[in-house]
Amino acid sequence: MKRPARILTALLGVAVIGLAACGGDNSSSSATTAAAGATTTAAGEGAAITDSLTVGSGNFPESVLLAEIFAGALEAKGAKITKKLNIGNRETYYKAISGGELDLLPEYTNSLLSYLIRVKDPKGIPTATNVQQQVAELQTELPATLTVLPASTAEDKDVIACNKETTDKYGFKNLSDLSAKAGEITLGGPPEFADRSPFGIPGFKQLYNATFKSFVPLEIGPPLVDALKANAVNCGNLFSTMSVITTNGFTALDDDKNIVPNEAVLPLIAKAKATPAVGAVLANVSSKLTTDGLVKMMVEIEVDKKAEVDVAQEWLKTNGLVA
Amino acid sequence: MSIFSETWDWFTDSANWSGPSGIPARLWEHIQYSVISVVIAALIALPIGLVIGHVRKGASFAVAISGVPRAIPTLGVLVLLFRLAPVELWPAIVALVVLAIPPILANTVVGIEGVDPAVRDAAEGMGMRASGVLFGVEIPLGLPLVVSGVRSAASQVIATATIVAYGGLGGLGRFIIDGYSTQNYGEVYGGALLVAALALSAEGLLALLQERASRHRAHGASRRAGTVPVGQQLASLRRQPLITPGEPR
Repeated sequence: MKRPARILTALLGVAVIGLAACGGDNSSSSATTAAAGATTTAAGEGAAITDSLTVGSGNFPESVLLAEIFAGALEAKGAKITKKLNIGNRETYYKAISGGELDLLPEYTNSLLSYLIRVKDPKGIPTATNVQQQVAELQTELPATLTVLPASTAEDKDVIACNKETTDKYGFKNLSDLSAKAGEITLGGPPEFADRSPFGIPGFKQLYNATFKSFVPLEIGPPLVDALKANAVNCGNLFSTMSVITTNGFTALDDDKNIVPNEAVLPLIAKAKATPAVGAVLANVSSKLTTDGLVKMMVEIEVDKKAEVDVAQEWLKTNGLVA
Repeated sequence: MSIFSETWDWFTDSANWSGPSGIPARLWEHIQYSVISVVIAALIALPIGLVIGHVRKGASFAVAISGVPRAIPTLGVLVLLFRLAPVELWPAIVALVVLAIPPILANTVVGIEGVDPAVRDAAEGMGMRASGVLFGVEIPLGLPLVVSGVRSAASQVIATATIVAYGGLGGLGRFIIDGYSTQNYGEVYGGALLVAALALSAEGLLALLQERASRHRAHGASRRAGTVPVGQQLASLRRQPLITPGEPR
């Protein structure tokens, strides 16, 4: 349910091509030998990558950014990277990677899993909710030619965010706090929130015995954000990495009872290309990628209008993944 | 095939007929939005149309100008105003009023202005004041066309009021938008059918009113013309061009 919605909200993805990173340094293995300017680098104990990989992304800015990060990190280690970004929605890019046109894509655990299950059974939903279970289930659902690599802690998942007026008044920190005052709260969210469980009106009733004062169906995006800003709704269903949460002073509430399936960012890769060296680079990226970091980068892209590739390079430098 | 069965299932599910998001509640919301909008539009457009039609100055200009709001996309107005006042009713009403004014205004101007000059002259000749001419002669004679303007405004408003659901409001548009996002297509088709049924009912009701207005014109106008000799009166009415009810364009 989530992915199509966010693809809609992210229609303005801009294809950014070019600007290949060069040079490299392998701080992950604490070695600092670098051959700056060279495209093939042997740094410390980290073996140089000689493979060539085609990196793709979905057609929304965050996916492009993550693909740029993967591409930049691999390129710094000598991989020959071809970028095919902004390809389309999951239906389109999944076909491309399973058909062998792409080798590497940034993905989200629950969305990818839901997609793979739905392809087989239109009404199927994943049973796994935490990252560990999701990754295990992904490995069994994926075809033999594809695999996923270790997930990051960065997540782009459904959250309930409340506007400043509401948090000032009630001091909500998590969904339990919210549920305790549900009778006074007007909640906004996409229409499907009204009958979705566990993350929806029926779920709140079941798990928290909470009934909201009212629910206003609004598209995730400008309609809901405007309503939150104007305090026409107190809280609403947004996505955790949306820059509007930070820029408007909204508070994303903690999901203290885990009713939202995890949506950890992880690399989806062609098995043939998932060599130990490539795996080590991407595992290193995953270990440094956090939700806060992703939010900050998304603010730079959506608010400061920076190019994804520049934001990615900056992040890679700050985290010592490129020289 | 499945379209019909899905729609049928939706209509026959008793859960869809009760509560604040049930069919009766949504239908009532839709009627409220539509009636409020058409009434406000009529309150604005009728006086202006009557005056312009009566003074017969700037009538063609008024008709041309009244076409301008037709080019304004209602959805655009709605989105613009919802940005200022999210989830409030007035942006929706304003957008629908803008939609409803042109047909009412244009038809009123044309209806009043189109009254045979000879009838008007006769009324003036017998000493009727301007207001007497307007209310005693022009309005009764122009009424069928005026009502036809309201009728066309009403059906446009009813069909378009579905979009207010985009801004978090209710009405029958809720079924279309909610059904689409939950992939319940029976709900989408059911909602669309209800909108069509409501628009047709309003059309029928106002067509009936229009029919009565036509009859009223024949009787009322002659009754009110009072002292005008019967022969002259009849002659005027016979010269009155036959206004066919329906779309003004």
